[in-house]
Amino acid sequence: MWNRALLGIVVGVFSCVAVAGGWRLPNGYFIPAKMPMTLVFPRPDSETAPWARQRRAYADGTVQYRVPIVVQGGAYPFHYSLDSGPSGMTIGSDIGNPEYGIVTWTPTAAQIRTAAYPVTVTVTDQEGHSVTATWSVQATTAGFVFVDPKAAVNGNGSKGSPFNSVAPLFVLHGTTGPYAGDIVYFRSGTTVLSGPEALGNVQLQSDGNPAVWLGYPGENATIDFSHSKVLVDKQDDVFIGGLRFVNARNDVPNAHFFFFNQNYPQSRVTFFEDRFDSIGRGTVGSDNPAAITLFNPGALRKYLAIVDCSLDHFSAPLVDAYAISYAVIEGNTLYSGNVPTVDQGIFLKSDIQDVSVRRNTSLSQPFGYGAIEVYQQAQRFTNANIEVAYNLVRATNPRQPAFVYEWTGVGGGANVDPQIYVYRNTFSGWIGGLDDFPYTVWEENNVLIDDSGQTAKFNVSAAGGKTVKSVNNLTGTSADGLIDADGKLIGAASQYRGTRGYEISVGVNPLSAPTWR
Amino acid sequence: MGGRNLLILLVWSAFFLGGCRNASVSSAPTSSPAAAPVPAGTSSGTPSPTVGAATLRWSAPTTRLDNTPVSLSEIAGYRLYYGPTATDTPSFVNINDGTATQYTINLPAGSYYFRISAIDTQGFEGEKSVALQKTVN
Repeated sequence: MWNRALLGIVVGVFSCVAVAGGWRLPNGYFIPAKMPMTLVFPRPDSETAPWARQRRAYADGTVQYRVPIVVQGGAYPFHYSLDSGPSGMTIGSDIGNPEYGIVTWTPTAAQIRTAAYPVTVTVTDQEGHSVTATWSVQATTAGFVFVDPKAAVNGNGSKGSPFNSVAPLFVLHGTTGPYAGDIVYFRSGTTVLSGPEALGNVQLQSDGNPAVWLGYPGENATIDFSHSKVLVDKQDDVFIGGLRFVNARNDVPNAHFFFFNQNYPQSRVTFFEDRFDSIGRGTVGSDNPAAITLFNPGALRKYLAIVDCSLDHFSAPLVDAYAISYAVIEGNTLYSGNVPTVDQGIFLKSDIQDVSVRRNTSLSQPFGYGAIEVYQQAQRFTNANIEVAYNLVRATNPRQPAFVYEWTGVGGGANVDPQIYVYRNTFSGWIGGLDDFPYTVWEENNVLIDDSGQTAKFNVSAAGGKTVKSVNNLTGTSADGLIDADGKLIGAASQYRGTRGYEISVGVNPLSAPTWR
Repeated sequence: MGGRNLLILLVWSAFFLGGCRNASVSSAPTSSPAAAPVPAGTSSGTPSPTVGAATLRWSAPTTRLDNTPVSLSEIAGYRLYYGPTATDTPSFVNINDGTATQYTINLPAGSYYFRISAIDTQGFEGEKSVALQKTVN
């Protein structure tokens, strides 16, 4: 359980002095940190495998190295500064920058050298606390393999002579393939996934197959999953970025694109700028379908990031998560769901600790259990420290749930008042589950457009469980005209812009404090 | 903005309802005292607590947070926060005068902490001051 005293102690370990700068928001325009900042990606070299995505950059002057800096907790929005790195490397420092929080670099052949380049990025939050990401990156052309479905004949996997299928890449689990530890670039066009496992699946296990898959920058690389899915067993440092995945197979129980199984707590898993398109729920046993499902291995995974991804044409969530800790689900967009069968968009199911669900957008039709559902199953552990912040759920029908709390006593774990913080969201739709949710929740500075007539909302008296600590929320119905089609506050409600709901004021240079005399 | 429950803005405001009886009233040293904000839900049948006054004086900020200079004409007013502890000042009054340097507020007798922020002509609130303790009696 978290509390303010502990926050002060832990923050002190990570913090530096407050920074006065144009990126700082005035008091009231951000929410003080609910939990300390934790660096999720990239982790230091001492923790990562040599093939970890951030540690290798293709250096021929044409391929952009692109790495997000992902931080859990803190007082959002953050300020990013690149303190050291190779020539030409940059980062988007402040929110509103298209490359916000993303390190980019296009190394040239002249930058190839034996030693790796050290990189340091400092991330500072609105309260002046900071964390530092340090890692090294090698500029090289070694350790990469290329797949181009347009290639006329099968090449050797080099950039100049790519493979035209994935057949050479993947070997049966328990063996080590020729491209283990390589970074795979997929070129434009549609590559059909097929693997050597049962049902044509691909398995990532014990470092035997490539675990870093990237779409070639600036191209639309698509992988067709209609004959295969990816099973992840004992495998860390998985990075899947810049790819479009289509047609999750629906002829098997629980449709998935990526399934992280229950045999091992896979750590340091990142999905970045991926697009998932067309996924059903599968045949039987369809209780855990998702584009990305992380099943329960009986130990908590560490450092999961699902950032700037999208989901379209779906009946299953973007993510269905068990047993995750220090995780960030941020900047993702849910487009058109296949109503009425969509249950959730982002589903935090069981054993969830230290997780930020931040700045996601749902443009989808209504969900049966909310675009975001915090489902407090505790199979093995307690749930703890969950924040849902700055999200926009813009359902076309605000009679359906936008956000849902749920709980169950299933399993051997036990919740100990999990500390759930819901703040600065704009929800078009009602809040579900508060009527019997037995734990304390904090709801601050949200905007809620609710046409359902439900009484719970942010109403303390309507909660049947413990305590709802509700403050500064702005509620109304769609007839009140509080928000526009983009969820932005309008009319008389515009006075709350930047202090209620998902909108973040940018470029405000606040006044210093008056002094008493 | 019609006649329904349009905006339900929940603001902590009832902390000073309890206690504070049998306190004396001080004379306000300056003019134009503000009326004490009436907490939501206050019944007209409840006996009124003893009311005193506190006068707060401040100097306007001369810079923004990035240290760029700011003139008095860029300040539209102030927001004076108050509450029972230095970290719990949930109530506020707006002072819609950027040239103001003092303010007198009427409150039920007791100990209060005050913080103040400036609001610029764009409507953005600045950094809050450190807390100042005063006893109203």
